[in-house]
Amino acid sequence: MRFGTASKFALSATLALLAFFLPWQASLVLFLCVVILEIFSDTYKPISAPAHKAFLRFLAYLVSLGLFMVFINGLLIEGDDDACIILGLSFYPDGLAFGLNVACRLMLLSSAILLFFVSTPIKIFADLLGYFGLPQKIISIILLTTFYLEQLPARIRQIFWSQEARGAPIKGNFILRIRSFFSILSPLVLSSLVESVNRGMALELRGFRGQVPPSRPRDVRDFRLAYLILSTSFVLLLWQVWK
Amino acid sequence: MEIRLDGFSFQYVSSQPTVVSEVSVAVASGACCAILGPTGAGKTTLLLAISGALGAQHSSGTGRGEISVGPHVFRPMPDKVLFPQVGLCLQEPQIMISGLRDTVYDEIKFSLENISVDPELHEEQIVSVMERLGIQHLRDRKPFTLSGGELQRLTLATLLVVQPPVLLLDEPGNSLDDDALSRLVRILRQLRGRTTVLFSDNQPDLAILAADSILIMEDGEVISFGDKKSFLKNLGEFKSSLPVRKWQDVIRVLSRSSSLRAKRVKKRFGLA
Amino acid sequence: MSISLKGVSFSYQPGNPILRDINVDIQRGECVLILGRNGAGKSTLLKLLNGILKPTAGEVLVNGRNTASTPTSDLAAHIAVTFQNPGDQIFASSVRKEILFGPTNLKRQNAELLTDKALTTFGLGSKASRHPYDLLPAERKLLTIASAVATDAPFLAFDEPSAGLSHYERESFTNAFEELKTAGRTFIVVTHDLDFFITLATRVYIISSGGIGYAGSADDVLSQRETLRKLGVRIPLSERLLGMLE
Repeated sequence: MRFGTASKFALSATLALLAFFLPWQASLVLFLCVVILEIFSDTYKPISAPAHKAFLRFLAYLVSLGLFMVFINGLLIEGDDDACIILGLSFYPDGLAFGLNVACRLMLLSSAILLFFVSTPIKIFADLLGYFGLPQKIISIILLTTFYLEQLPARIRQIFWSQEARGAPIKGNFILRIRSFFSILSPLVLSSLVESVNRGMALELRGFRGQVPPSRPRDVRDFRLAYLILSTSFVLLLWQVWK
Repeated sequence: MEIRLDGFSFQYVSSQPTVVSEVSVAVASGACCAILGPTGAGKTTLLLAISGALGAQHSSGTGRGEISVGPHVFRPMPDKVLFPQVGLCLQEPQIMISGLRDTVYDEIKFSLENISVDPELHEEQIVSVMERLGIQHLRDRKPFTLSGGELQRLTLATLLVVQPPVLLLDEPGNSLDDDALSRLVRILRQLRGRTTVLFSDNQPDLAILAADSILIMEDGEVISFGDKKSFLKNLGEFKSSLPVRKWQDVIRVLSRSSSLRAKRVKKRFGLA
Repeated sequence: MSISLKGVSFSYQPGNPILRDINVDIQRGECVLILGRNGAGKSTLLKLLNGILKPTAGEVLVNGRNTASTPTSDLAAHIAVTFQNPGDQIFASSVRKEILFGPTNLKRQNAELLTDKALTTFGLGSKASRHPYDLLPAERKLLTIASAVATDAPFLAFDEPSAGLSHYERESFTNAFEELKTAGRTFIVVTHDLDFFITLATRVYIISSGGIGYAGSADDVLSQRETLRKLGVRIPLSERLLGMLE
């Protein structure tokens, strides 16, 4: 079964929210769930292979950061209990617990947010925002920016080629690279400016004034599920506050 | 819709020479007019002025004279884009793609959305324009993965779907291969009688194949304006601004030959 | 002085070669046209010549240097390559500075002189101090070609140099070409525009399904109408009509 974008968003938001008040053991379990969802679930299938790779790289970074936090906190934050000696270093149990708490929360929070964006094309996300009432002008800006960013790597590569073919020492040492930087950045900025003026004119020529009525969301299905998830997390939040 | 220009002039910066000076032409409703000339002749400026895109840019210079689009007279030119009465396709078709829609179908639909027509009611219209331009098989493709010729047909579709009475095309013949060019000729011939078409070009092939009248410009001035017949008769006069040498040969051979084949060529390409 | 491609193959993805076993030798003073359909691999071939892409099999030698082991910026002294879109390279604040970029990078002693010469050759002298974006698009195209010429590289390779040029620029382009050819420069031109380049060319290659579909001297190629049609090379309508009527 595949969830719609709204449910996906609700689930990710809930997981991120839970990170603020669950104990570290639960956060850790949910973090593992996020990883499993990203790899095995159909709903959270990454939009592309590079997106998947970036997600895994980010996870590795998160885990090492988490371990580092546990290490530092365990070493520095003294508590009431006696320190235990591991490999000649003295770690305090309270510090370790605090480190674990912060680390697991951070891991759950960031991975849950990333999980949504790794598996949702920006265009569909923009549709969702439009559905929830974000002005079309802002959505158009988001979409045009995405469109531009999508083309950016190919553009930069072509500029590299063009300048290298004229002898620019782009792959030389640091100083040379700094000097060539201008010859790469400048065509990018200049041609982008020209293109954005032309593209603006082209959009105007097609009657676009930034106020297209929102198109029907492409993948915004099963709102009931989304509301269920969101209300559950809301109840959890209330319970936490009351406690 | 008739297009009429009366003594229309334009300059971007007052210190620089006029890019278009004293242009007076009239293109009858449903006719096809080619604007020919080398780079810098003022062809693009003229098309931008008629479309309203030039007047819509506030700080873009000064104009004189007047431009009429059907019953509407603009002095010196329309000050806002006249879409959907006038559709203009800029020189590079990829710039006309909005970047806001994911498929060919949605890209065409986008034009209808912009003029507040409920696109759900006009699916037939979108499908028929795709069929007319032969792009129905590209319906779900991403616009930016199309080839040059396909992209141009998509751009035409995004304009034709709103059925503009006037269609302007800036150098549509550039970098088209043979198939794409003959397809464009077919499309232009289909539009004859229904849509007033003005297109620019820096070489005469497309004009000879598809235009009723031909306007020749150089350095912003009109060198000649007349029907295709008189253009072909006086080809030699334009050799400094257009590559007409080969066509001169063709006309010479045709005028001398009375073979069946020559007759067929004359008829098919309107060279009689 | 020569460029030779020996059994060159190239693929972007393994198992899906764009070019297969290409063997070409280009000698000094030639003007070689590379034709073929869109996506046939013409532009890829151009990128192999100056080492932007390295062959997956075989080798490319530019004046004896193997492109696989020589950086592109070093090869630029021997072969200057210009791509289709001027916007991808223009960065300087004046036409002159833009042209000067190449010879300065290559530490040419007479960089200023080379720049002035290129400006004159392409009729851009009167516009030397203008901003490149103040030029018309067709003139910007000429500017990129002039920048390649100013590097003083003996081999000049262009991707679709005549696209978007009108009658005017074509004339100054032809004159410049003739002048440079007499001076011993070598041209490799990837193009659709057989009609325009045929009078300047010495040899023609047509790339088709990853290999060389046709190779011949420029004098013969126009008579091979059937082959040209089959390999997707466009002959102008006027030319075709003349052929039909003869």
